[in-house]
Amino acid sequence: MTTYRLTKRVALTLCIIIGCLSMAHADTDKSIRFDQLPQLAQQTIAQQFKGKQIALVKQETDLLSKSYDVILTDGAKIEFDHRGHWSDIDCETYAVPASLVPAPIRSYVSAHYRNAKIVKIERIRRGYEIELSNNLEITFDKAGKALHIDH
Amino acid sequence: MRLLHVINLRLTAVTAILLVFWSVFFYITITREINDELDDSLENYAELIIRRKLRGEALPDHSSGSNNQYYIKPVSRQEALRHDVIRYRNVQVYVSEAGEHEPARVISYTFRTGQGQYYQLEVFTPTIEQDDLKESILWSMLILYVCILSSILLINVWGIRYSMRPLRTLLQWLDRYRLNGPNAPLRNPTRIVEFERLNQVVTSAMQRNEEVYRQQHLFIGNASHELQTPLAAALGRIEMMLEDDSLSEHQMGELIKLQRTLTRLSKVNRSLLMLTKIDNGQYAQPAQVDMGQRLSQLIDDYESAYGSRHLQVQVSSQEPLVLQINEALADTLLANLLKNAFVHNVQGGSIRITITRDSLTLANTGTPHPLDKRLIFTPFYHTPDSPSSTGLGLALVKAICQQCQLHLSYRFEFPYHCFEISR
Repeated sequence: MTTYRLTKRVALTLCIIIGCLSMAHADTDKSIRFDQLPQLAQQTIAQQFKGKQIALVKQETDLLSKSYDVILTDGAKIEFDHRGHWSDIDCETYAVPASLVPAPIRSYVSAHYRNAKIVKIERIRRGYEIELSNNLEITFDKAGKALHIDH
Repeated sequence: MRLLHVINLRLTAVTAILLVFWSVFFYITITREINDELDDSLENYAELIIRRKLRGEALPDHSSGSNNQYYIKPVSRQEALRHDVIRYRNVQVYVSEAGEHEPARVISYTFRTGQGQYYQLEVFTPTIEQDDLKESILWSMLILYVCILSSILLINVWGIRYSMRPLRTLLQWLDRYRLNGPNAPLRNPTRIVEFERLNQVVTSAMQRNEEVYRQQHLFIGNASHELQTPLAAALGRIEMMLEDDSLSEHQMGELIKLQRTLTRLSKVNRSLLMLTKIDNGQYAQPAQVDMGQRLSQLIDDYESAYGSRHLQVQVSSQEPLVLQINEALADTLLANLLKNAFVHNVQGGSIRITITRDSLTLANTGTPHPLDKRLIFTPFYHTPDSPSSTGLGLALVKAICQQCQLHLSYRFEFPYHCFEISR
C-alpha cells in the first residue's frame, strides 16, 4: 500500500475514534450570564417580567439543540429555545403575563374559568398546554381551539 | 481449502473491525444515556428545591424516599462567586449504613434570592447501581461480541464451503483423471454460471486430449505392427540364406552384420510395441509378485551371460518386496534394470541390490560421472558407450512404473549409479 493511501486510512480511523469519544462527553447544564442569552429572550424577560430579579440562568445542551432556563427570584421559571422564543413559562403562584398568552386561549379561559388564572403555559407539538390556578390542565391546538381537559 | 481460508479471513477480519467500532460506539452511547438520565433526575430535583426556596415554601425532606439527597446552605457573595454557578462532580461519599465510601454524583448550584442572599445547593445521589449496570453492560457486550464474531465465522465457513462444492468436485475429478485410463464422466451439476462453464471447458479440453492421445497411440501401434511382419520375413530369409554352404566368408560376414542390424531394428520395434501396449493399459491383470524372487532368477541368467565381465553381485533383502503388478511387466521391469546394471558396468565392477518392504534399489558401478536424470528416461537416449542398445530400456521401465503407480528415481552415490523403485 502506498504511503498516501495508508495515511488516508489511518486518518479516517482516527477521525472515527475521536468522533466516537467526543460523543461520550455527557451533556451537562452550564450557567451563563443574563447577557449571554439570545436577544429575543433578554427582551422578553426585560419587557414581560419588568423589575423581577434573576436567580439563575442555565444553558442546556441536548444532542443537537440548545435551550435556556431562567429562574427568577420569585420562583418562576421560563424556558427558551435556541432562538430565544419561549417554550415554557411557569409562574406557579401568579399569572403568566397576559401578552405572552395567545388571544384565543385567553378568551377561552376568561369565558369558561373566569376566576382562574393561567399559571403555566407550554408550547407542545399539537399546540399549547396550559395549567390553571385551580389545577386544571387544558390542551389547545395551534389555532387556540381547546382540545382536551385534564384534572 | 486455502481459498476458503483466504475469503473467510478477509470477510471475518473486516467484520470484526466493524463490530469493534460498532460495539465501542454503542457502549459509549449507552453509558452516556445512563449518565444523562441520572443527571436529569438530579437537575429536576435541584430545580424543585431552588424554586421552593425562592418562593419561601417548605423544602422537601432530606431523605424523601428516592435516593436523591440535598444540602442547602447560605453563603456569602464572595463564596458564591468563587466557584462555577453550576458544577457537576463525581465523588466518593461515606455511607454510614454500608460503613464504606461509595461513588455518588453531585451537582452544586449557587443562586440568589430576591433579598440578595446567596445559597449553595448540592444535590447528590449514589451511583453504585449505575456503575454496576455499566459494568454488566460492558461484560455482556464483550461476550456478545465474541459470540457474534464466532457465529459470523462459522456461518462464513459453512457458506463458502457449501458454495465451493462444485469447485471441489471438479478438482477431485481432475485428481482422479488418468489420461489413458477409464475415467468416470464428470458429474457436477451446478447452478453457478462460472462453475458450469469451468466444467464444460475442462471436460472438452480433456476429451480433446484423450482423442489426440488415442490417435497417437493407434498410429504407433499400427505402425509398429506393420513393421513387425516385414522384419520377421526379412530375418527369416537371411537365416535361410545363411544355411547355404555355397556362400563365401565375406558374404557370410556381410549377411551376419545385416542380421544383427535387422535384429536390433526388430528389438526396437518390439519395445515400441510394448510401450504402446503398456500405455494403453493392455497389461491389466495384476498379481502378487515377489520382486526379490523374480530378480534372483534373472540374476542367475545374466551372471552366466556376462560372466566374462567378472562382476560382483550382492543382494541384501531385509523384507520381501511384494507388488501388485502384471507378471510380464514385472519381468520386463527387472530385466531391463538388471541388464543395464550388467551392460553399463566396468570390468570387475560390482552390482548392489537392496530390497526393503517398500523399495528396490539397483546400484552399479560404471562411468565415473553422474548421468543426466532428465534425459536417461526419455526414449532413444543413448549413452555414448553402448551403441548397440535400443535406448528404450529405461523408457520402458519408466512406463511400467507409471502404469503401476511406482516411484522411479535415479541418483549417483560415487561410484554407484542407483536406480530405485518404490511405492
